[in-house]
Amino acid sequence: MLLFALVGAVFLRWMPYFGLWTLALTLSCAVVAGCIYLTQKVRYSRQSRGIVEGRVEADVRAVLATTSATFCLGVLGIFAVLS
Amino acid sequence: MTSAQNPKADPSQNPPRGRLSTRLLAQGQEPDPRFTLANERTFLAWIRTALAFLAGGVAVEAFAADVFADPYRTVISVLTISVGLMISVGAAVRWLHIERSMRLGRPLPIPLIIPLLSFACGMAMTVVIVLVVLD
Repeated sequence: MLLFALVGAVFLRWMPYFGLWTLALTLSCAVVAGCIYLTQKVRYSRQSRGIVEGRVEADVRAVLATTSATFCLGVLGIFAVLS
Repeated sequence: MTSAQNPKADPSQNPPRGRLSTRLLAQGQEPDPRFTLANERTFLAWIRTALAFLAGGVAVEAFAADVFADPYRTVISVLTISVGLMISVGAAVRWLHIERSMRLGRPLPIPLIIPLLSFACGMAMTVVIVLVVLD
């Protein structure tokens, strides 16, 4: 979560150079960081309970969501660079 | 603590799995929870690397204006961001393969992401050195 927020801030720093594209990148990072923050408590509870019970279900949805978010940020970044 | 040692981990009392989890991780049994969490942690470390490449690629385009001419800078920037994209996809694929291997009790697969990343970084460094020398 912190890394997505940090990367968003890094993109914001280049706003004078890239214009509104960096705003899109920064907002996307902020949305991802926000989603991670909002789901953090539920995930931690599930994992803690799983450790006690000896069974933790692999969080496929979180992995796919994080990968998709990173991929979309990369595509947005390429568009910003090429524009 | 394994499922066999913990009476609470009776498979008949386990909550139903999600649809995605059932589809992608259909076979085998849940491994030790520590291994599942460690796998997820390794995946997040690779995502961290991918984001670093992403931010670096954007920074190269804006920051290296005095170092490289325009088309070369754009090429380097796009290549760096593309490496970040590859790492993010590779991390997810790696996570899935490792999780499936653990569920089936098979040996862990060779992490292809490491040689691919080494090759990509080597190529990128070669390109940058050539461009600096040519300039």
